[in-house]
Amino acid sequence: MKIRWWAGSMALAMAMGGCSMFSPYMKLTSGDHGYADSQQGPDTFRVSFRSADDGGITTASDLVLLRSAEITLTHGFRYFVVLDEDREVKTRTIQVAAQETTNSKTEVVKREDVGERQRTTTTTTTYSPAKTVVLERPEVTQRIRCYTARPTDTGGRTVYDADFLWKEIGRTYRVVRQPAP
Amino acid sequence: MKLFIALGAAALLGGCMLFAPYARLSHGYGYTDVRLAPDVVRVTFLSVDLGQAAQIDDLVLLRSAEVTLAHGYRYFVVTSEERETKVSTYDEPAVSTTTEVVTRRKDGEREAISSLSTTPAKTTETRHPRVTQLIRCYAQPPSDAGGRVVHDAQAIWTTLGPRFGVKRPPER
Repeated sequence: MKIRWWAGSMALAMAMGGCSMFSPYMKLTSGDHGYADSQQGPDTFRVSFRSADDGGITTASDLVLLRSAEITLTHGFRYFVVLDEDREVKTRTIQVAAQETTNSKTEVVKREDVGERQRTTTTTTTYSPAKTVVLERPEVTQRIRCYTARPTDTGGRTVYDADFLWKEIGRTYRVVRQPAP
Repeated sequence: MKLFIALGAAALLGGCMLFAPYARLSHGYGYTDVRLAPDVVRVTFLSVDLGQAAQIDDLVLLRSAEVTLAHGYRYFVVTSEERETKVSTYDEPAVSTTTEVVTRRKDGEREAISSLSTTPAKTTETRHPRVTQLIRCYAQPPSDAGGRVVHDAQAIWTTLGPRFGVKRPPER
């Protein structure tokens, strides 16, 4: 009983806390959210992240950088530059059918003193019309070039330190593992 | 008793989001930020527009000031800013209630009264503004900020913080 109560409390706490103990950083598998990447040259990669959580485009922007940092480190580089970036919002629609629910309640009250009998019937009908729900999945795609030493001329682009980003963004999004390809 | 403990745990893990306008991101509301370099931070605030649209500008500035101070700097410059507003809808179903009261008296007489009340379906729209700032932090006021405003993080923290009920020291 005590265990059941504790489990219930934790479930409530997690619901209110937005399940914040799980990281949204993961490989894109079922098509809903996560990262995907491909190598385009010895030092260039295409990295994308599709988000499905509360943060939306913010999460996608942060986690595409985290994946870029991870790719950079796992291929033996230390720094990277974003050559170009593309943002788009992928949508998925769900059709929700109209729904009608009817509940009826009958209450009978007998008043023996006056010989009266009263029957009250309350019928409640709730109707939700059909609707289309649009789910948005913001996705950020970056093309990056990696370097072993900090480049001096990158045409004004920001040079990211992959090691720094992996630790910083990783900490923010609760990624505790080592960089992996 | 158990309910109080459960709610207490929920409030702790939820970051007391139900009451504070300035809180870490949860359920689509609050701040989130990430450090891109030792002195560069991307700060985002997601809000719910309840007729106080101007608040989000102060809230994102407050968070920028907080991260500046929490990382050991004193000043910051907003190098770029991005704004977006999303609209979500909440549907309330139509509800009709029929109440019929039938009274049968001792003499066999029967009386029936019927009433009907209806509430039409309603769709409520809510706006969710988001502001993202990319900031660069400094220990000393920069001599050349490219014409951008140099914000004093300490002044913002002590001025705006109390306005949003923030009484704690700056934290990451």
